[in-house]
Amino acid sequence: MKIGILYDSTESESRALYEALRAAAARSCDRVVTIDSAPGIAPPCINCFQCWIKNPGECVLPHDPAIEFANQFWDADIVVIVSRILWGGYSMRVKLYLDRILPILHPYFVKHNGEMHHRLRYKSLPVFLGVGYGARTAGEEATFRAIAAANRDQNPKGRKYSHFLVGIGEALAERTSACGEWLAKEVSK
Amino acid sequence: MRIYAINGSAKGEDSNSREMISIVQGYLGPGAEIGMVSQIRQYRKPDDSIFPAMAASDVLLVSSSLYVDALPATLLAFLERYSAYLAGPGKDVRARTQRVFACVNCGFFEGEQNASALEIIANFSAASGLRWSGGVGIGTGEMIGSLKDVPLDSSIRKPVTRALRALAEAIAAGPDGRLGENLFVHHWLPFILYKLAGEAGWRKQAKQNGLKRREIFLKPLESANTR
Repeated sequence: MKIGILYDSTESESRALYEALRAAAARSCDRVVTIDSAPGIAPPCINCFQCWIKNPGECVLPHDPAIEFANQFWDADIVVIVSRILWGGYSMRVKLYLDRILPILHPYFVKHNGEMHHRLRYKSLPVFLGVGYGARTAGEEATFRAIAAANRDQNPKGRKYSHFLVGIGEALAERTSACGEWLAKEVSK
Repeated sequence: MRIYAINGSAKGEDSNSREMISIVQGYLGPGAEIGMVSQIRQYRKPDDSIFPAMAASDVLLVSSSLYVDALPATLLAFLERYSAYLAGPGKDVRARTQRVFACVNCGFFEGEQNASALEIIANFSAASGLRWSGGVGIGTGEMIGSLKDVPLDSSIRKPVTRALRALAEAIAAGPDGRLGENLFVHHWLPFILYKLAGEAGWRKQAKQNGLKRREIFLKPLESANTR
């Protein structure tokens, strides 16, 4: 099993959660690949769709750190995205990487779980699982749950998996060890 | 009434997000004063001098496409800068009356897939002391631009243009104008027709780039791995 982890080392919460996740992943998976979104503000996806209609499967932007999101994670079974919650979604820095997913998707459509989604370019797509912290309101937490579920459900088999939240008022130290246990459970599903 | 519209698309002027603003502008009529900012231009060359005019507007209209079930990162960057400006010294958030509306479109069939993106904008509004006033989520979004020369009240466009007209009417209704609830719509055609037309559109563009049909299915990372 291969696990990918995207996190942001500029934030102490992200670093702590990442360490717990990496340790849990190393115990149960033969391959663990991590990407730190810290090295820079990556060039954004500009929705040019050239990775679908000009160079299928390849981003046409000059090689940059965020291109690794597709290049390193395309064949992972699970990708965990660790992020501060910004208004219910992922932080800008993390989302710059996630937005670069298009090359591993296919422009054609399929319907699963009652909704239209992209056909997969490869045999399978990683199941994307969100790990969020730093929400300021219950509303932001609810939005994060919905977005994590939508990301996860891009994979037709994603529904058995869950997300992980360090809730408002919860102690990071306690939740950090719980986060590792959570991943161990998800991996065993 | 002063309105400021944020074009949330990375494609700038030639985008469905920009077209949604034009449709709303058309319903508001010539009396509406609309300022416009392109978030992608702001991402490439940040210019905070627009914030006083934005903050002084009665209405903020955020128009965007959906990126991976949420807002594009570059739009988040712009909204974070605006939010920080509003939180700056000398600005009394409690007194702020700016209403925030949004329209978000996606290439999927169901307008409901934009629900979380609208929630993000609602949460941004609450966190910035602004008044969230409702939004429209549009599926079949690629058709917004491709049908722009078809009459607004034609059957195929009507579900979408009716929702954008409701948004414009809520904007125009004055300080308490808001949508009762978010509206989720798509163009009036069956799922299968949209899927087939969409896929034919991709094939046509690929062909224009000199690709053969089977090349749309290339798996370059798989090949690189087995080399």
